[in-house]
Amino acid sequence: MRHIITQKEPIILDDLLSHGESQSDGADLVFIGKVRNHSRGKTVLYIDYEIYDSMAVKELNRIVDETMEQWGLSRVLIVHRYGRVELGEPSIVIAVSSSHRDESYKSSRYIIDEIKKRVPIWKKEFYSDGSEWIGDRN
Amino acid sequence: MITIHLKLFASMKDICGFAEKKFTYDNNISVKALIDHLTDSHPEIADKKEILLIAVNEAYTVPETILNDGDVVAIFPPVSGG
Repeated sequence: MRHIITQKEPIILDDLLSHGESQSDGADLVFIGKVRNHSRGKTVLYIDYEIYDSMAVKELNRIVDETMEQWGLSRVLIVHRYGRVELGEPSIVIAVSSSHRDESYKSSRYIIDEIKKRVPIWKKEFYSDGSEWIGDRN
Repeated sequence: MITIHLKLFASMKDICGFAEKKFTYDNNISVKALIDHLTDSHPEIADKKEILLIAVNEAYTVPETILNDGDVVAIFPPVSGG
């Protein structure tokens, strides 16, 4: 099963992980990406995420299709936030479940790497002396 | 006559000063021609052309894509989610 959403509100981990839990799984692997207080030598105050929401959800589903096909996971849960995310708060949570841990580790890494390449979401970091879009440095 | 729905995000939105706009053309044009058109009024785009990503109807595509009436075109800088 899959549960893929984007939301402005803070992520409540227990609520997310309650979706589709199965006793046939031997591994639940949870990745939490969060906002840190430093970036390239600057002190970060918070991040504002902009999203092309309808396409982002489609692209997340395409990534999950690829992941399910390659590693045969029983469960994939993804939540990505948009709008303002404060220091220390999760901006993304990816939870994958499989019979054995190897599939979970490999697929979790694949999902976050592909999200960073393909899903139309942009972070704007805010500092004490200004702000900057991050995608533009590429 | 075709109508294109253009969406801009992140720094592209800031440069052009709008998030969404409709454009009407006499003929089917390419995404590249649309970007050139935007660059005429917003020269700062010229520095970004090489890194811009393009989606037509919510799927990634290349600048050479020819647009059809009613297409939704999104133009944006490299993504930075996660």
